[in-house]
Amino acid sequence: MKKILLSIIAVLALTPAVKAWNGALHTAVAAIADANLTAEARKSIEAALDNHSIAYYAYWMEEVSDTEQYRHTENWHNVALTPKGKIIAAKKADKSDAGVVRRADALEGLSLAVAALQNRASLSKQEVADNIRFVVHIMGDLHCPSHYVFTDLLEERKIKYRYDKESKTRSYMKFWEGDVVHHTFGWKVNEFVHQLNRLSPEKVAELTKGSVCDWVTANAKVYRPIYSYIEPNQHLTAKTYRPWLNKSFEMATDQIGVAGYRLAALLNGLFDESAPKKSVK
Amino acid sequence: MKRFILTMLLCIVAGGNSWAWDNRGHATIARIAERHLTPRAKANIEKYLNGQSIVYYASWMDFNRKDAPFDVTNDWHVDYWRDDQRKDAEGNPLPPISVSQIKRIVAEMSDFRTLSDSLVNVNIKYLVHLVGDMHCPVHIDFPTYRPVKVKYKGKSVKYHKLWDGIIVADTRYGASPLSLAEELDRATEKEREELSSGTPDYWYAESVAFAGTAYSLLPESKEVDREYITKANDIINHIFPAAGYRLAKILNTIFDK
Repeated sequence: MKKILLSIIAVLALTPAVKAWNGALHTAVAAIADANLTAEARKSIEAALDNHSIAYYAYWMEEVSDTEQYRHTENWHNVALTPKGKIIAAKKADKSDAGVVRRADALEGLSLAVAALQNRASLSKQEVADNIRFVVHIMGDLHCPSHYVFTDLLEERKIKYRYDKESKTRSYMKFWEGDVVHHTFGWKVNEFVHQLNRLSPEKVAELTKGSVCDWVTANAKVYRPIYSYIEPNQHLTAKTYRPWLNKSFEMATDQIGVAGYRLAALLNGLFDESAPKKSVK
Repeated sequence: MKRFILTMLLCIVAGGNSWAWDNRGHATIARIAERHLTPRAKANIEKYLNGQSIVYYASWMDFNRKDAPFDVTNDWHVDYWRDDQRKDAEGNPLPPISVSQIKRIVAEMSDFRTLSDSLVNVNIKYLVHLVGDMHCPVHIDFPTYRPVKVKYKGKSVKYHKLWDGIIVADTRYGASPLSLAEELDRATEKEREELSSGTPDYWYAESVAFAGTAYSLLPESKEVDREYITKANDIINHIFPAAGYRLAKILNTIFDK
């Protein structure tokens, strides 16, 4: 009993602060992807995950990122971009660049995970599972607008706003990690799948065309305007909050579905020989 | 039909469980309706909604009631009882606004293919939401109930807010409209036909009765206890499917052609 309690305390102590799409949204992305996996891909993936689905592990990377074993993944959540939306590789970032830019290494993490899975014959089952879970999580992050670090908008990332009569301010970046969707739709995972997994094959083909870097470049154009929706210390009242939220929630919700289709395309390419291969770069 | 409704009202006073009308409540009603759309009606509707479902747009009217050009719909959500009823320029009482809007839209949509895509799109969103609203006990605003505050978990909240959202969040089903719709959509075909018979005027009269029942169940202390929540849930167990079946009937009549 004592051992169980100690284990529980240890697990709780390791639980990190939320710093991505929140758990519900990552799970929704993975559940939509799961619905679009080929039978062959799903079979191989779930064999590596001890019969669990990718949705079950969608948030796992966040849960372990503060542990010694996985500390090397702690920067694999953001992507840095020039003002014109060109991707900056974190290792090529200048020393004078802000820490948030130098730490924006999601694409490097994804490249390593995808390369490892392409050569998985030499990996242990645990390593295959870890790399699948990295891919699942990073693909979610790459469709979250607050994970795009534009070098000319670093101050804007610190913007806080005040809601109604609350004395505490709220972080605008944090708003994009969950509230932007949850304050409109009180959906559970099954609702996300029901509502968003309904695009035509033509639309899916269009969304999944190209490489991951192409997707990131396209996303950057869609996400950059979010900084024009808010002023520092903006005060939103019960009356003005909804019209303000209307500027954002449909795009944010759509991205959950887009991420799901693209994650499925990437995983199908890795785990189903008959599916088209996707590359990161 | 009358007997069926009376039985329902009696059942509610006797006991049971479920919930109401924030986004989750509207989505649940829309989902029940969606489960009973004919394939042809569903395909026609979703074509006008750019591939989305009626569930996605169940609360669209709430999200857009403060923005031009849809701010004109801001007062379509609630009706006022008797003395507070809306009146025309001569002081004559006007029919309930939800009922008159539903009737107007249904008439306008009788030959929907002659209308612009955007008008059909917005009319679908109106119908999905207004049929939900007209079944919500606090969307028939009784002057007696309006100022009432109830005590809920130690806090003082408006009676209207209790039914608009709090009860929705306080049920055993969690908060999933899909699951709740599946749970509540258990009527037989005969019961479904019976529940969706009648007209919007009749459904409105029934909602007035439910509004009275919901209020009369409050204890004198105005303390919302577990017993009240249980009975409120029972009201919703009946209202949600009824609203869903009626919405499906309206939409099938318009779009299954």
